[in-house]
Amino acid sequence: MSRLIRLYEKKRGDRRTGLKSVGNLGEALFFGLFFSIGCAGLVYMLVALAWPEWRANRQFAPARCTIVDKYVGRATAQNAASLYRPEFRVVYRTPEGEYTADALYDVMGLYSSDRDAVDKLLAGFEVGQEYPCWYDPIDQRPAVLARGYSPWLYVSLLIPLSFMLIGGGRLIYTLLHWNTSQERRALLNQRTAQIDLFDAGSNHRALPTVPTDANVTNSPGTTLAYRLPIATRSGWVLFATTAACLLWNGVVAIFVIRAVGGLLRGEPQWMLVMFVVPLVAAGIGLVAYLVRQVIITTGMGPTRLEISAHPLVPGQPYELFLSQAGRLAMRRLEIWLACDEKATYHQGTDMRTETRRVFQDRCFVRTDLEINRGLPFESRCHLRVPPGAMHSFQADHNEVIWKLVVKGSVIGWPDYEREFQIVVNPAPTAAI
Amino acid sequence: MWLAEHSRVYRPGEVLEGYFRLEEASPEQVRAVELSAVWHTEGKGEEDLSVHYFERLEPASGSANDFTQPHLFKSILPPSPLSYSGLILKIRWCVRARVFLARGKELTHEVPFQLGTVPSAQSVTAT
Amino acid sequence: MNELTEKSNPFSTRFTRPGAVPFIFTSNDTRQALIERLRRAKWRGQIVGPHGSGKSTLIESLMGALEDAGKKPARFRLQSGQHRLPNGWKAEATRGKADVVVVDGYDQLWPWRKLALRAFVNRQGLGLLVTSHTGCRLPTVFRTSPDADVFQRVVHRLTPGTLQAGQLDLARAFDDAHGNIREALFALYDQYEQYSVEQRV
Repeated sequence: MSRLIRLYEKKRGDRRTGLKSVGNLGEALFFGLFFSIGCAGLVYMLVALAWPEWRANRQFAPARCTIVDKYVGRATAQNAASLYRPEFRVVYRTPEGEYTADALYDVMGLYSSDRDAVDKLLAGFEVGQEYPCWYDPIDQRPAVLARGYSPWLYVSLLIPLSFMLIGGGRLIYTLLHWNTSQERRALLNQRTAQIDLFDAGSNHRALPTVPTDANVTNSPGTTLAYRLPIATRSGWVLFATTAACLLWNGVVAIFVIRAVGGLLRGEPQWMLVMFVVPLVAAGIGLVAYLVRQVIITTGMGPTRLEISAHPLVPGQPYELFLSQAGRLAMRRLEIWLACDEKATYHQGTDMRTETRRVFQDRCFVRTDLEINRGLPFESRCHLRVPPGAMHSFQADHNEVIWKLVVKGSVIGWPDYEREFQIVVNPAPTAAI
Repeated sequence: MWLAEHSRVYRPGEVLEGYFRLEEASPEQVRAVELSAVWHTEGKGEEDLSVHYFERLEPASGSANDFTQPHLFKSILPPSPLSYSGLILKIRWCVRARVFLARGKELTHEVPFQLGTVPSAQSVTAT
Repeated sequence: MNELTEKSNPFSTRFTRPGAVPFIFTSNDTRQALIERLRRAKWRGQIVGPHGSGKSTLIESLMGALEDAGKKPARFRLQSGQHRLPNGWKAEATRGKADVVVVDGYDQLWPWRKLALRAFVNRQGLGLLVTSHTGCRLPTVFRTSPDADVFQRVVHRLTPGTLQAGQLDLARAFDDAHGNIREALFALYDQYEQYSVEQRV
């Protein structure tokens, strides 16, 4: 066994080189600090602000006090700005006796830069008059003249909580992945991915890597069980082509106007004319392509494909229902069952996707047919995925895709193709 | 490492059973051994990998001798993905043993197996 | 088909990706010479070359040499469509006490992102080593321009003793790919698959 194993392997690829454990330690310390800051902030806000407010509202005892004096308390902020708050000198009676003490408006006693607001608040209290107050029954002080909850305080708690969540979550992740192998990391990521709150598609978990068929089973057919969603949306192609055509020709038109204007004035700008000619040619090409797309989209009419059951299983027979609308004289109309492999590779700084067809079989063909507007062509046929064939497969970078392709060859018009993706499950007879 | 039924083709739902042991007890400390049954892709796309079965073993006494006796591992194989030999994509299953030694060293060993009997793909010209 | 007897295609991406095959120098250049060139340029430099010429592979090969030279790299690889460095890249570079920031795919960055990166490395006194398809106003430490000989040597690294002469058309693969080694290796993948099918039959 030792001859087959490389004793020491430096990790390359996307990861940085250097000791992984040191990197993990640095990451753990960084996010640990984040978490600690969050904890400290939360503790401070709870102890210094939320807890006293709660006590004042729930535990302070009521009394009546007489205001002996009132004034504006002052403090200086870090930027040397002045801060103010209302302060009082009051006399109140408790079961323990009579107290003369300093009192604040509310238990938090926060300073504010708004002097006018503080003055206005103080103006609401007259010296010598009696007002309700609340005092701490434990030691009879402090006393406050107002109670209530501060909504801003509880919203502000989100700040330290978010620090704790970010720091704590990442810290846990780092610890779990400390010196873990590729297999263990993949397993942890899989477990996270399997936590699906909405459980969309039980097919997905019962058959790992087989794509969900929710798109199809959510779409009932009118003739057969399910209507297959079209994979290629001609509407979007038409929209994109129209937008590109308008944009390109709009810009080119500006240059054309200038060039033609110069020619008409007898002051030809030949450099501009030479520059504009290829641009106009490209614009004409775009218009021709747009016209082609319009013909395909409007002339062909919608293609509807329904299937008797879904997902499919190799070896089993299925029925298809085809409806092709439009006003067409067709040379040929076909349905093909096809399977493609698709592989994506990030090569250096480029991305490369390759698709290769590995199976195709024609399950329907009709030649020399005429389709009239308002009377779609309809037909049924059978299809069967070969026994033992590979099932649909979907991973991050690689796929096996099964599809039904409707191909039309129209007299005098361009050929068209419409794809309908289907899901093929592994054959149950292959399993125990 | 070896599988109970060498070079066998497994069907989904069958039990994958095998044994693992260290044949030459290394004088270095064995920190842990991880056994896993994984599938991975191979071909023209980036490698995808997924773990079906995973077991981490830590020696009670901290000595490599703990693994000189065969350790049995067992797992029920899933219904998918099946082993596949395509044109630009292959899906391969294997059992992997990763031995963690002192000072961050690691040894790995793989035993491949086949899940399902999907025939190899043939090249087709798209019409 | 018995998968257990089927060998892996040696041109699969897991064997050809950057880092899987060491960079092959054709001239008198060595890793150490390249590092020395970078040192003389005060650890600022670029590796320039066309697509698929081995820039990412060379960067992988240099990581160890940088550490041997006492410089700790902080490496970032930009993929297609990525025009900025990942979030937290500054923290990653400073937290890891890096000496050189390595950016694979520098020319993909938006211009202001390049300015920000240059300002950051200047401020922190860090080195900067980048790969680019075109020059980007840094001293050129290496220019990748693979030839057929390099390509042959890469192929022989991937297939030591498993292929005999004439089984694969290396020249055609290299010519068809116009010198892009990566594309040429993909072409050899297909050739090898075809060869394997013929062997089985």
